[in-house]
Amino acid sequence: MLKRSKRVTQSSNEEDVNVTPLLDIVFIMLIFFIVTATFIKEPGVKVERPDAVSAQDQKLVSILVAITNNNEIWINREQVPLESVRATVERLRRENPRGSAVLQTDGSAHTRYMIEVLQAIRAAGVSETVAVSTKPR
Amino acid sequence: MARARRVTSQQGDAEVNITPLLDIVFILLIFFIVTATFLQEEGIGLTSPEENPPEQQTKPPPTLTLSVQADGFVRVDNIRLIDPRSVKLVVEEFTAREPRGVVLVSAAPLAKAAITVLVLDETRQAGVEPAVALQKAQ
Repeated sequence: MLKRSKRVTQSSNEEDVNVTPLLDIVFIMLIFFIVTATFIKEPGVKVERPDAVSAQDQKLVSILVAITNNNEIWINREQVPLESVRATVERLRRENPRGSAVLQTDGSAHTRYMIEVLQAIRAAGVSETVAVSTKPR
Repeated sequence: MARARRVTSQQGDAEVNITPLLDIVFILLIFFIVTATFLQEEGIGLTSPEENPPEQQTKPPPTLTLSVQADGFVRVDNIRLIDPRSVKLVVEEFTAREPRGVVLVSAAPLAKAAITVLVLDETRQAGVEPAVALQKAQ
């Protein structure tokens, strides 16, 4: 304490603390967060996902579509009928043209909705992987 | 010219005032930290069956068709009925017989998604990437 206050009084007519290392770190963090920002639109519903052993981490997810247990389709906190899934995904795609799509299908939803939503996402021009989400381990 | 003169006149002084820059950088940093969503999604990639150009091969590759029925059982090649949990063994036996074989998972529209995902998972565990399609309504 003593030593420190003496140093401060000594250099009082000089400059304040050297902020250059702080600035370096802040800039690096800033660049990291800008690069990793993907702006995902969450579907806004909770689904009970099925289990899978061979599941893999999905990289760069930008489109999330949820199918609930009573076969409702949710995109971006709105319920969407099956016919307009394609148009909605195309609109999201225009806002964020890269990244893969993930289907959060409830285990007790009908397969018909899973496959038809998958085909609609493919028809909307998503060439990256379209995956069905499974329970995280 | 004016600038150079000013620099020489405050030689003993400090450098440029970076406080406003720092303010903006901090605000940007906080914005990106707040909006950052670290989404951890695990899943199985889905592949749809694709149509081959007809000239490329004269003989279609051997195919194992796994039909997921609405009652939760799986029909193999339209012959026998098995439990979805034993799909892995069936696919392993098929790939041992036909190393270039293709596995097609054909799901009934009313089958539960959990069963279809289980069949896809079992097929992938056997080392084959299955194509998934929907059965046509009879």
